[in-house]
This record gives sequence, C-alpha cells and structure tokens, in this order.
Amino acid sequence: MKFKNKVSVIIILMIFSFNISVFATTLEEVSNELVCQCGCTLILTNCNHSSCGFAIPMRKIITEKLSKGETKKQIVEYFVSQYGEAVLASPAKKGFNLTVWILPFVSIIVGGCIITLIIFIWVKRRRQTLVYEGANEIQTKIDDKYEKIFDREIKDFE
Amino acid sequence: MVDLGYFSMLIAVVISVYGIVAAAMGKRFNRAELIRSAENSAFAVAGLLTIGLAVLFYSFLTHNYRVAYVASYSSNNLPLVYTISAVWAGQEGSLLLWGWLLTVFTVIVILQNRRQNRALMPYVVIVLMIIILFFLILLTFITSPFKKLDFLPADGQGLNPLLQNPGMIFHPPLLFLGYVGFSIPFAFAIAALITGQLGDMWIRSTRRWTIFSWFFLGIGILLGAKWAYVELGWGGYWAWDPVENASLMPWLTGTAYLHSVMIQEKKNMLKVWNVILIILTFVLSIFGTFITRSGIISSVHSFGQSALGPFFLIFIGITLVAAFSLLLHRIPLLKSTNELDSIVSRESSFLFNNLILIGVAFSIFLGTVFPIISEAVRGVKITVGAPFFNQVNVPIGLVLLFLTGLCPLIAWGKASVRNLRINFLIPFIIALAGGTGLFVAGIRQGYPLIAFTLCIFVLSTIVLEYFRGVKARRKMTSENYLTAFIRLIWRNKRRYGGYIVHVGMVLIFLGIAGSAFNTEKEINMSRGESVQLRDYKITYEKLVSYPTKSKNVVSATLSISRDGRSLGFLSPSIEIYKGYGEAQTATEVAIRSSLKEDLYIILAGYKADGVSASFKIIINPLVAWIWIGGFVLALGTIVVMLPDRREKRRLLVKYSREVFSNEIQK
Repeated sequence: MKFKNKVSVIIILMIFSFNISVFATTLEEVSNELVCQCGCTLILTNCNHSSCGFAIPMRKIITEKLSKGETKKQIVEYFVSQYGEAVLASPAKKGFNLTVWILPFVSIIVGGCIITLIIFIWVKRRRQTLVYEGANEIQTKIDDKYEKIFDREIKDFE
Repeated sequence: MVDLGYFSMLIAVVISVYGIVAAAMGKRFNRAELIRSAENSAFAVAGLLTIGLAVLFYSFLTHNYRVAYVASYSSNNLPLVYTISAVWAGQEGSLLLWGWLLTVFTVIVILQNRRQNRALMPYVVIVLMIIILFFLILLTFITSPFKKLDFLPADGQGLNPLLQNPGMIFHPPLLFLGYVGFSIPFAFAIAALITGQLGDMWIRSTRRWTIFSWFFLGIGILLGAKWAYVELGWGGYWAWDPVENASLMPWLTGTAYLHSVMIQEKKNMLKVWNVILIILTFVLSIFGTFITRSGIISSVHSFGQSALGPFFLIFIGITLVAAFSLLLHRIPLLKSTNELDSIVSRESSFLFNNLILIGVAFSIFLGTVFPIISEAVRGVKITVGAPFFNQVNVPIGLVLLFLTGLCPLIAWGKASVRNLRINFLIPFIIALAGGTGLFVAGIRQGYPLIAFTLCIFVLSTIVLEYFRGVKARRKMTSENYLTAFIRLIWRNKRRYGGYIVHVGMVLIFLGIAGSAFNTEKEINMSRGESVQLRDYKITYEKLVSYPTKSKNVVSATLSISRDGRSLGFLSPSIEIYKGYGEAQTATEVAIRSSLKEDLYIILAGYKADGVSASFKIIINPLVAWIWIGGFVLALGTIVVMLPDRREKRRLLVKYSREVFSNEIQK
C-alpha cells in the first residue's frame, strides 16, 4: 500500500473510532440545558446555593421525570412551559434564534471571502506595478540606446 | 473632611472644562502658553482626584459611616485589607478609581510628550480631558462617593461576602488599568485624525501604552477567572457571564489591533482598519462598564447595577458618531498603497488572524446583547448562556490557535515553498505524532484532541524558532547555549518576547481544553464514609463550626488518598456572614492543585451535628496551566515592553523626516 493510502486509512479509522456511544440521559445532561431561575445566571448544574429555592426543586423534578422514563426533550419542554424560553441555557435553534447561531459563522465566512478577494486584488496590483516598473526600466534602456545612436549620427553628420 | 473630597471633585470639573477650552484655543490661535496651561490643568485635575481618592480611603479607614458609600460597603468587623478594597467595591468608588487612573495616565502622557508629538498633544489633551470630564460629571452630580447620610449609623452594612476574597483586591484595579489604558491610544488616534498626521508615529508613540493596557486587561480577566474558581464555588472559572464577556471583547479587539499595527509599521497598510480597531477597543472598554452598571442583562455581577446605564450609552453613542465622522472625513488621507507580493505572506496571515479575533469578539457581542434583541423583536425573554458561547467559540478558537502557530513564521512579503517547508514541516510532523500518540492513549473527543494537537504544533514552531535563532547566534559569536539564548531575546525583545506571550496563550488553551475531561460527583456522606472518584479516595472525617470576628465558619474535614497513599486533608467550608442574616453565605472551596489536575471539593450542605454532609467533588484536569500561562504571558509582555535601543535607533533613521516635519509644525 502506498504511503498516501496508508495515511488515508489511518485517518479514516481515527475518525470512525471516536466515541459514538448511547448513554441513558442523566440529571447532569438535562441540568446542563437549563438555567437556574434564582438570579445567579448559572446553568442548573452549577448553581451551588445551599438552600436555592429553584435549583434544588428543579433537580428533584428532573430526577423524578427521568425515573419515569421521560426523555431529555420532554423534560426540557416541561420547564419551558413552566418558566418560558428564558429557562433554556442557550436559545433553541429555530426561528429568529437561528440568527444568533448562524451569524457569527456567516460573518467570518463572508469576511474571509472579502479578505481573500482583497488580497488577490492587492497581489494583482503589485504585479502590475512590477510590470510597469519593469517596462519603464526597459524603455529607459531603449531610450538610452537610441539616444546614443542619435548622438553618434548627429556627430557624424556634423 | 468629606466635604474636601466633594469640593475637590467640583473644582476638578471646572478645571477640566478650562483645560479643554484652553487646549482648543491654544491650538486654534497657535498660543503655546495656552496649550501649556491646558496641560498644567490636567496636573491640577490629577491632584484634585488624588485628594478625592485619599479622602475616600480615609473615610473607609476611620469607619466614617456618615458617608453613605462607606456605610454601604464596609462594617466595623471587616478585615483591614477588605476595608481598603471596599473603596472600589461599589459604583462610586470604581468610577473614582477609574477617573483617578485616567488623570494619572494623562499626566504621564503629557510628561512623555513634552518634546515630541507637539502637533498632536493639544488634541490628545482635549480627548483625555473630555473622558475625564464625563467621569467627573458622574462623580459630582449623579453618583457622588461623598454623599452624606442624615444620621450616623452605628455600623455599616458590610461588604458582600463574595467580594471578600484576595482576588477582589487586585481584579478590579487591574481590569481598570486595562480599560483606562486604552484611552491613550484612542486619544492619539483621534488627534491623528484631527491633525491629519496619519503616519504610524501615533501608533509607535502609543505602542507601550497599548501593550500595557492589553496586558493588564488580560491579567485582570485571568484574576477574575481565578476569583470565580475559588470563590463562586461552582467548579469552573468562566461562566460566559455578560460582564466577563464585556471584559473579553476589548481584549480581543486590542489583540487584533496589536497584530495589525505591525502591518502598518512594516508596510504602511491598513491605516483605516487600525483606527477602526482602536476606536472599537476603547468603546468596548466603556461598554463593559455600561453592562456592569446598567443591569440591562442579568449577570453574576449584579452587585454593580445602577441607573448609570443611559449616561454610558449616550457617551458611547457620541464617541462612535464623532470618531467615525472624523474617520470618514480623513479617508482620503488614509489611503495607502495596499499592495501585496504574494497570497501566502505574513501580511495576509495577519489579516486572517484579525478576522478570527474580530469574529470571536462579534460572536460574544451578539450572544451578550441577543437577549435584548430577542425581547425587542419577539417580545420573548431568552437566555444566552455558556452552551451557546462554547459551541460557537470553541471551533473559532481552534482556528485562532492554529493561526498563532502559523502567522509569526510566514515570511513578510512572499513566503516561498522552501520557507514554508523549513518552518512548518518539523512542527507539523511533531504535532501529527503527538496527536496520534494522544489518540492511542485514549483521547478520542474531537475538540480536545484537535486542541492538544494544535498546542503541540504551536509550541513546536516556537521552540524551533528559538533553536534556529540560538544556532545562528552560536555560529556567529561562539557563545554557549544559555548566553546565546538570553542574548537572542535581549537583542530582539519584540520578536522573541512576542513568542513568549504566544507560549503563555498556548498554555491557557491547554488548560481550557482540559475542562473537557472534568469528572464530578455529588454525594451525601456519613462521618467515616468514603467515596472513590477516579484515583482519589475521599473520606469524610468531621465537621467543625467556629466563629470569627465577621462570620461563622462551618468547615468539613476530608482525608484524601490516592493508590493507598495519603495526600493529606482538605477542608471545604461554608461561611455565614454576620450582619447579613443566615441567607448570606459564601462557600469556600477546598482545592488540591497539581499540574495534572485539581481536586475541587465544595461543601454543599450539612447536618448541624455533623453526622452527615453533602459534597460536590470535581476533578478539573490541567486547570493549573491556565494560571501558569498567565505568568508566562506576563513574562513575555515584560520582555516586549523593555526599552530597545536598537529599535529606537532604527526608527530614528526611518522616521527622521516625519519627526522633522513635526518639529517644523511645532
């Protein structure tokens, strides 16, 4: 097998051997999707107020719902129905909220295209300058040559 | 005494107005004595603000609760060190500290430029005095730190327990040094726009100020992260809180500026872009205060909220309109030759580095303000929290890390295939081998594996660059390796100091990437019970409770062992502050830190008799490298900022014409 092929096989094997496993939903996974409503602005997993009036009951509800076999999506939807979208740790990837998810990447890609275009223009401009300077140099040499011939002929004529 | 503070502010307002008018008139009518008088007025304002700040310190130290601000942020039982740091614990004191720092910086700038940049200086003084005046107006008429109560309380309300941490003594002042420092390059940029002197003299004159501000802002951010890590007790150091984001944005645009000015210095290009970057950096510095003070977005820094938001918003609006109008007016003078020899060059790689830095800043800005946009557009309140920022910024951050290795080693002008091969083949092979080794060792998560591989790549490029430099010196001078290494840095401080800064950033990235391998467990343990978490065996030994001058402390003792070997004891605690009621508690986490990982234990709850207690136990891999990275970054910045006689000489020759023309104008 050629070296390139070997490298390709290794890379493909590496890609496919990344852990792609299915686990049962845990309290932490659900808590990571939600924000504590006590005002601490931390995600539910991280709120550590010893007597938090929100985090403790919310975790209890999640544990109960998990034991009943509810999915992460169902539990999260339950909390959204109770507290509104503000309970989600990050905006749902739909509707107007897509703006915030997509815009950073779109702006970088568009910016990248503009920069690439600008660089191409600048490189082209530099090449033109070089050609122009080169042509001037040649012209100067030609002018010098004909000037010398002209001088000689004038001299001969005289 | 308190009145002295108030009147010093009031007189400072008047003198600031005089300074602005005198500088403008002096320039308009070409009267040197008026310009000198305006500069002297800045000294007077600095003196008055020093008096004001000294009065406030004195009021805190003497527990003068007649002063409302002192009564709100201190108490009789507050330790001395926090009584001092309480000066900047609230809005009024923070603004006074900000204003005072700005006056001190203004004085230094004036002294530095007694004999140079004379054409720019009147406008620099005007811009700085306008910013000072804005803060003075707030401090005198809107939110005075010297406001007196009608009665004399027996004791103050005390300092928020969260702010009673060593990190809080240094974190705000260092951040302020950064925020305030960016006013100087901004003032010079505006002065350059007004005068039309748009060469790179203004950039070179403020280079050290920019690096100084960038450095202190960065260290302030890191100290804030350290404070969050040890004080907030949720197990992490960065929560993507709006106020944290607000400090990161000017640091990112400032980083972009520091890189792009190199192109202007070298190639006389990107003049407009550099002015835009410094305007944005300054405005984002003010925006940070707006976010903290307005309370417009809910934040963990909510202790800083007030009604000052509109004032800052108006100031930001006026600054943006004025600065960009000036920029548009001067566009014809800012046109540069804008030519590049090759698509693959240092210049083009720096453009992409700028794109990514601004891209990250933009994504953070958008995420931070999106709750307001959503409420305005849809009428729905939403939260944009850590999961959003991590998902968006991690891939962009990895590209930035890659460029950190790539940019400095691509040749200026045109990178040949040979140049690319010499500089990158060995680091690429080392990184590939390292990445494969990590994969074989069991690291299979995509982002962390890429991050570690890129860290290896960037470090390899830097080590190789040092190795080549040392080798070249040894060939020329026959010095030993150590001498050659030290002299290499000493004689090229800017270049090799910059590499040290990059090493610091790589270490910070390494520490951040380690967070992907956190392990945590919440458990309720009876006395004598043990729990196993990875290699650690943690046993709950006892619970003790004792009062101190300002609080009651409940402390649990846990014995820690690994592979049967005792590692000692950890004592996480809960502190209940007196004067705040039982609800005002703070967690004091216990951390056993090593280069490999931190064992981080939080006392989450307890039974009064200590029979059982609840703990949150977290293993945070590689966190120590973030703080080590901070030290390396500091070291690199010091090297970059050291005076460089050789560079000074080079510049003197290169810019003699510009200096000469300035002298003529003077």
